[in-house]
Amino acid sequence: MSTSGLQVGILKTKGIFNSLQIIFISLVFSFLSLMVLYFILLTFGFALPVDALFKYGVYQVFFTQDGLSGILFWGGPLILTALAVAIAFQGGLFNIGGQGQFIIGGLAGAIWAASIVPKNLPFLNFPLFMVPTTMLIGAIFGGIYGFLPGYMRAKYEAHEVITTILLNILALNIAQYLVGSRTYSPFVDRTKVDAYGQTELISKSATLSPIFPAFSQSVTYGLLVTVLIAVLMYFVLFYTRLGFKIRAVGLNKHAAEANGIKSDRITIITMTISGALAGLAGILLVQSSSVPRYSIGIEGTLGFDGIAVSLIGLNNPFGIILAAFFFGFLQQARLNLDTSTNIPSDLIFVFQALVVLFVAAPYLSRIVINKFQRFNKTQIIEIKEDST
Amino acid sequence: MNSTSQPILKVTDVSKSFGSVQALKQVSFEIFPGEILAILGENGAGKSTLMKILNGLYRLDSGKIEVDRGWFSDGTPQGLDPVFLESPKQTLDIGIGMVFQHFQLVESFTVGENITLGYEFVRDKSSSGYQRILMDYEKTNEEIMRLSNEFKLPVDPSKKVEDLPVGIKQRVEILKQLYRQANLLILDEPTAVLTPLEVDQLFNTMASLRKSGKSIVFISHKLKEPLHIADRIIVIRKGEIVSEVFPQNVDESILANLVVGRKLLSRIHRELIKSKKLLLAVQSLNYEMNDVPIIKNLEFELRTGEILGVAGVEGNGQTELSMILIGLLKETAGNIFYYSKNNEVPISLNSLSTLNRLNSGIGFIPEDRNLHGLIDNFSIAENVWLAYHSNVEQAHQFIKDNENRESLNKGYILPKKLMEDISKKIIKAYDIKAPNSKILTKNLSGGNQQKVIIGRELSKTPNLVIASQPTRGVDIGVMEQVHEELINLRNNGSGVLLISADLDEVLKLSDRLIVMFEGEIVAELSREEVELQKLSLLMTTGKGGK
Ligand SMILES: Nc1ncnc2c1ncn2[C@@H]1O[C@H](COP(=O)(O)OP(=O)(O)OP(=O)(O)O)[C@@H](O)[C@H]1O
Ligand SMILES: [Mg+2]
Repeated sequence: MSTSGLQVGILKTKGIFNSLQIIFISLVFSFLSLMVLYFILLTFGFALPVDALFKYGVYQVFFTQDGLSGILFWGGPLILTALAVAIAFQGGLFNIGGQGQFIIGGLAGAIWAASIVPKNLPFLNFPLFMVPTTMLIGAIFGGIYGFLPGYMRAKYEAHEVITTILLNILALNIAQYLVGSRTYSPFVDRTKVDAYGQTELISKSATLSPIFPAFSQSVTYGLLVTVLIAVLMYFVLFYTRLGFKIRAVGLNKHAAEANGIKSDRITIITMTISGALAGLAGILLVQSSSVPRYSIGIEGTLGFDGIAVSLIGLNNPFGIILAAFFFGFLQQARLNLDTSTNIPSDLIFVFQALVVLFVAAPYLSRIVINKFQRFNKTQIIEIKEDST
Repeated sequence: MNSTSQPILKVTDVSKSFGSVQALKQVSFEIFPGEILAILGENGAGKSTLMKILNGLYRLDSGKIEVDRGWFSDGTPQGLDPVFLESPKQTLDIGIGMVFQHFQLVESFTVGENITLGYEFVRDKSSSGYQRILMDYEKTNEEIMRLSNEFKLPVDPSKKVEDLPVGIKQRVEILKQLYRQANLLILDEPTAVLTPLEVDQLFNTMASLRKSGKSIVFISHKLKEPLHIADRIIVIRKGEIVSEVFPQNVDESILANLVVGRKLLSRIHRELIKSKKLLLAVQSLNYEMNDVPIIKNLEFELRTGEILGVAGVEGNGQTELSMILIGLLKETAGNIFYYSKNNEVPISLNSLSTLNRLNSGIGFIPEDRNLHGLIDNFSIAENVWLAYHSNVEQAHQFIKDNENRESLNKGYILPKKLMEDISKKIIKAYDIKAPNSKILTKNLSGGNQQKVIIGRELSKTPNLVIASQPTRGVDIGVMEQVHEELINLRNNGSGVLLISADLDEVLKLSDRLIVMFEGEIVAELSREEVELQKLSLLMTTGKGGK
């Protein structure tokens, strides 16, 4: 049995190798496009400082503590938002509500740890209780926010793409109501003049401490939790009966139903887990930051970026870890270049976007090709022989 | 018939492997102008692979293919030229067209749009502006009518494909290839989905195509068919051509022998069942879709130790009936009662979920294996597990594994070992051609996919089996095996509802027969009462009963 387990493991971890392949190809493309960009800029009389580009964009990212911590810092949350997308994908759903679920999770957890417990239940305000419950509250509320579109999809056939977009907007407004205004928001610190737009600081006992205190970006134990969750999700998807059903519904809902799987229920469960993952991403970011509170806008585009990361990670948790750190690298490189060179930051954005485009393009085109020429290429059998 | 003339296509020593599976070993054969060549062979023998190579879908590993380009372009033989077939588009340009078992039609398009797809008529090539991008429907229809008359393939170009019966869809596929000027047609198991009447029509078409000089290669598992229509028969076994015969020199039993490599013995023994108890009672069942009645006041009973055949031309409500019985469609009105094993009190199926129906001992072999049966991208083991996912206990019973029972029975973990054990047992029992149980079922041959479904459903020794077209696509050896097992189930006191377009099958197995026509039961006959002529009449007109 152990050998067969290993074999399946090899098959499933294919995600990593394929993701690596994709990232490599895309880097080559990006490099080429950079060359083109370079010459275009030259004709406009703007010479890109190539050595500075390499120094700050690559060397300082990979070979300094600051750079490395940046990769981990920016990549961490993306792992979770991408996992949220991935599990939905595996279940045949397209969750683009990561933004909203992230906001709701982060907000709920922050309110719990900043207002509810410290003010009402001070005797519970100690780390062993606060750290896990805060995470849990974030995940639960994110989960509820994923459950809603799941339920609407299962019961009323309301497509999750539409509902999650609407819920994203709703989430922004909920945040605005709860912490956006000095006059009516219930969870802002009214004693301070400029305190609107954010919760109060969460209780110290709910924060996550850095793994490497020397790092400039605070890479906390939240990252550890994240990676553990990724491994857990991998296990859930490929080794549990629930994961089996999720994949079955995702691959062929009709066959799943004909064999007694209640696809409606699975859809709801999948979306709930998906939302919980995004919500967890939100609260972990709050708990990890050096000024630990929820402030409007901290989600940036993490929820949406999760879609790209999941795509590049081939919806496989291990592939996603890799892809997320790749995105972390791009982000850190951009910041480095922005602060240390005179290259216009818009230009760096363009480059970053180019890389993402090239990363996504080969995979996208592969999906398209596979869809339309299903029989065209010889399918090589994935595992050659049975070891038993 | 044309063995004296020059071949128009010649295959020499073609081999093809998929990973460790060698699908074709040094296959050589020729196709002559204006002939119908039949290819026979067991499931997984390599028939479809060979055809897909000719169609450019698969590339050969080694070997040579030559075609007579002169014959393909204007009918005048020029001699053979080597070609490298690399895509369906290219082979179509040469003049080779293939009709797959799974039709490649856009359901929501009309017949005309489907046929001309990719090669549409535009209004006027020389005109300017938006005129250039408008489709010329008149011209499209004209051209299709011309083809349709020329080859005697009547279709209505303005009808939507989704509204057509299977036989007509196939006709559209053939017309599509003809429209694209295919001179060699490849048909992969064209008759598997057709009713006997449609088969006759297809054969008429094939004969008239042959008359106009086209060549046809077709695959079949029904031995009668090549004997009836083919000029030459090639038999493939385990990737090699083992014989080439002419229909006038052989008969069914000789062919059977050639295909399976041994004598086929029918070991069907229909035991006399004395005490039959009620198993399934369907009472005034109605089903409407968009206010159109599909099933009207259906009323029948099935008893233990009985095989009840449902005969009828496809599309007369049989599909819906099976889906209602398993809970995939909800009846509009009516009652369904079912007696599970050792239970004197019937349960009403109406309010039961599909899962509960399955768990109360009902087995389901769906009509469309790729839609309701299998998950293409799951392995064999995972697909087998679909039938057991909520009933681990039964899985243990099947492999009679009592040791690991406790540890594996409960919990949330997928019992991979158990999954593998059951699927291995099924692979062995049905001789499923696969290197191991982790192969994705999409990489199995059509018949072997069907074997996975039959195997897993019958492995649960169901109390009641709802079998829709159970032997579609399986070879004669397997068909015999499945028939034996269905009879054994019956002999052991289970009931079988057998829905099949294959009249031979229905007549061979059924104890009793109901004939469905336009959603109604138009006749109920016992095994002894059946007369073939009367039955055909009943099936096609709904009249002629007593
Ligand atoms: N895409 C594929 N990937 C891997 N193996 C394949 C693939 N296609 C076919 N095979 C294998 O090649 C062998 C021949 O398959 P093929 O489909 O040609 O059989 P067939 O003669 O058409 O059988 P059937 O009567 O069941 O349709 C089988 O063992 C099958 O599993
Ligand atoms: Mg085949």
